[in-house]
Amino acid sequence: MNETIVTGALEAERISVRFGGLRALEDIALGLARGELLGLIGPNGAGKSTLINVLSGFQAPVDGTIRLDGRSITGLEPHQISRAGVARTFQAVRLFQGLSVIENVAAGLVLRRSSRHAAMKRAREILDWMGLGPKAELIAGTLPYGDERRIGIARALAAEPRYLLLDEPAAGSNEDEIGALTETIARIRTEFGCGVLVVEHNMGLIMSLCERIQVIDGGRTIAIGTPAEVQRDPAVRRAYLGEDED
Amino acid sequence: MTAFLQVLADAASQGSLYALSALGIGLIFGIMRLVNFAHGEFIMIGAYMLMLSAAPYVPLAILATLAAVILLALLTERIAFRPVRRANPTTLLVTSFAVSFFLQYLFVLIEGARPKGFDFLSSLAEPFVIGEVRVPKLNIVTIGITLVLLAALAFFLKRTHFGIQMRAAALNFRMARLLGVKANRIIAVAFAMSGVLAAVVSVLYVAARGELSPVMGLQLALVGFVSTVIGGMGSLLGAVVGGFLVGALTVALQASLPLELRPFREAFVFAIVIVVLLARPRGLFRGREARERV
Repeated sequence: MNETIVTGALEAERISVRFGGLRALEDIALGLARGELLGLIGPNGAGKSTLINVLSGFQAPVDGTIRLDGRSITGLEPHQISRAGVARTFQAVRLFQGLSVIENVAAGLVLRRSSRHAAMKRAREILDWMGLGPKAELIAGTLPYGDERRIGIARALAAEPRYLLLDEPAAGSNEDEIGALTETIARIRTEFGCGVLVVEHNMGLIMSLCERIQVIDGGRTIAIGTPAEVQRDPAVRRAYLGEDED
Repeated sequence: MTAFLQVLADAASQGSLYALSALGIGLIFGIMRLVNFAHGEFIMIGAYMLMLSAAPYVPLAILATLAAVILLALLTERIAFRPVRRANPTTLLVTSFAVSFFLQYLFVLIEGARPKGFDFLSSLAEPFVIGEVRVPKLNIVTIGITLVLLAALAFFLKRTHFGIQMRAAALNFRMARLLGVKANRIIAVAFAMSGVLAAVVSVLYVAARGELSPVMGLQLALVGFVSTVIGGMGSLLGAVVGGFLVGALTVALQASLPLELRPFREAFVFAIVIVVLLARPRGLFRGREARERV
């Protein structure tokens, strides 16, 4: 009962995760407010995906708490966290390969829409909104990588999440696609009003999209700030020195 | 030509029973990677239910059979399979054997091990003559009911919201669950549907054979399982095609084997199955979903 009530944020505090002897995350915190675009970056192996897994219930932390709009969701199953309003995408997109694009999105609408007609209508709206309308009837397994990633985002949006966690949404996309994706993610924030966490290696996308960026390395936060602040930060420069980031 | 058509008609009706059995097993496998050998006992218990309730009015007895087998399938899921749902496939398989043998010997205890004769809808055995081909009316009923059930299932899976969820769950259960598909409900519906399929096989089988026994389900479950394997585990279309193929093979061997070899017909059927699997170890239509399980 003495929980701190913070309205409208997905917060992780003092999160630690260990894989055997390896400390994947060490006493790390992250706060994502409703309507915020937060970038999460760091060198390979920094713990970015592990942190997303913790926030979405796929990885149980050995220590720490996760709160959703003030309510603790620590230890809940992935589907329970999803039901509570946190949607995510995956690096390996994991579409339903034998289903059509629109069915993929409609499958994610089961909580909100009772009938097939209503679900398909809403799925169509989301696909149109993301510019995927013409591909609605195609079978998901046959599409290029970039399209699959955007369908993954559409499917996550179908659940009408309050917080959306995107795990490397631009991987495998070309420059044009990345431009369109940047615009789409910005519009997701304004139109759906959800907080969006973006884990990405593409610095162009992160820097132009996010107002706040959290940099982690070795399972710890080394910097948080605006794109300009983060780029000037000596610790960040050290972490990335010698790494060939695009 | 006439002989060929005759064999074809017999194969279609035999294949129908096998296809329905295979579909019942394939449906459950698709969603929870469980090969439900107790499916044969669903059919067996359906047959006993039919015999016990057949006296006053046949349609009512068929409804009672449907209801009883659906209930049995739901109870089996709830009591036996749900507690081990997250266990590995081997545990699921062994559990299904345990359920299968439990139900089988329960009925040996109650009804005795000997087959019982049961004259049910024997008027359907009269042939329906088309040209020179004589097809028992029951075979036509069997094929017709099978086609209707297959069409209904296809409609359900393709055109209803619940069907889309079920296909999504069969492709990637964990992801479907993450998206809000309710695991308990979808699995219960799949079991209820396998119950319907089993009950229909009970009715058609008893009408064709005129007898029932506690071990009658074994053969059907085995053939159903083999059919899903031939078709490609995880593909419902494969299960249906596999069922019809095994049925056709059985009837073709029955018609073509020398008389003294006919008692060993099943040995030839399964020998050919082995050859098919040697050539195509993953079945004829391997479901995409079977490839990857997250």
